[in-house]
Amino acid sequence: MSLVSAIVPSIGATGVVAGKRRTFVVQSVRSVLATAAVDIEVIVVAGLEMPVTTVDELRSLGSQVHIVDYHQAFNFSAVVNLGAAHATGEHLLLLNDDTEVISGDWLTKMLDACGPGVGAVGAKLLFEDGGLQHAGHTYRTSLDHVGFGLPGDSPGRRDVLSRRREVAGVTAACMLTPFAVFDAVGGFTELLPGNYNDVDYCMKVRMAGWSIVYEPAAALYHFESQSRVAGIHPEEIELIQRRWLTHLVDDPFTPAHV
Amino acid sequence: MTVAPDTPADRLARWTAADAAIGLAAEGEQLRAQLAERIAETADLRARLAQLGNRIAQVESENAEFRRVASRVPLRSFTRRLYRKARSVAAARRSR
Repeated sequence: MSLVSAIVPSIGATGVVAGKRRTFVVQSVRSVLATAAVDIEVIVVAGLEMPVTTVDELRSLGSQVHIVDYHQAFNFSAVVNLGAAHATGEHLLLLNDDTEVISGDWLTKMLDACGPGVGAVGAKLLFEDGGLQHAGHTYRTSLDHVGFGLPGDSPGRRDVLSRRREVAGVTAACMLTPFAVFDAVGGFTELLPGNYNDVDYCMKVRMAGWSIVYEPAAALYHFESQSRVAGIHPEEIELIQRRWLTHLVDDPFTPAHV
Repeated sequence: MTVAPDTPADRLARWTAADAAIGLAAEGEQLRAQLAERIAETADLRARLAQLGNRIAQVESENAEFRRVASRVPLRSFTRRLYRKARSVAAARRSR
């Protein structure tokens, strides 16, 4: 099976999960290496803030873990692109550092879903309390996560949350994409440093003729925004609309009420 | 002949250029879609304007017909007779 390059942007943030303090990136990479079941390299793109002890801890996890330093102002897209620029795998796995794998066969399921004609595959992401954070994107009325906040085991209307299906887009918090696709569409746009860069990526991929797939058998926890406070800027909304507005409002994949 | 593998810097430069080209094309498509929508709106407004023009012509034509019919009524002699009758009735009442 082909090599997967996991790209994990991180500043080495810490937080409390289930009553215990953890360094998110260390736990995330540890869970990836323990469950990957495929050839994998992990490229942690480390911001200046990352403590040296965290870097050392990451290096101690195995020779598959590589650290790439990022010394500029925060730009998620630039960080992802930098990691991908150092990747040697045929597939890129974009992964937030505040994630933890739940289902053991998650990566093989994602690879299985990433067949011919597929440009990106997303996973099911749950909050710490088991609530649903992500089951694919929907862009019909707003840029949103399908089924956000529902119980994690909810099947959703017409089973949209519990079956593999084509979607409008998936979050970059956990996204598998062939390197060739990433290369063809120019990676992530650095014009969107914080938000909607995954929406833009998925639109570029779809407009180039590939599909986006949601794979619910790949389940991970996403301790969202515990490592970075999100804030949407008007210019990000303006840019995403300037590029894709007519396509965004025409979301053919999600029924009106999930 | 072997091709040298591209460096991270090569890749980043290539992606920046590709993203800019794709972004420009997408924005161009959106502008064309917006323009098509505005052209359709203009055509719709023109059609509504033409409808209003037709309605104005119809109302004016009806007004002309009203004027023609109204002019046939001999208004002056009719009112003169009416006033004469009223005066004679009033005079008769006064003399009682």
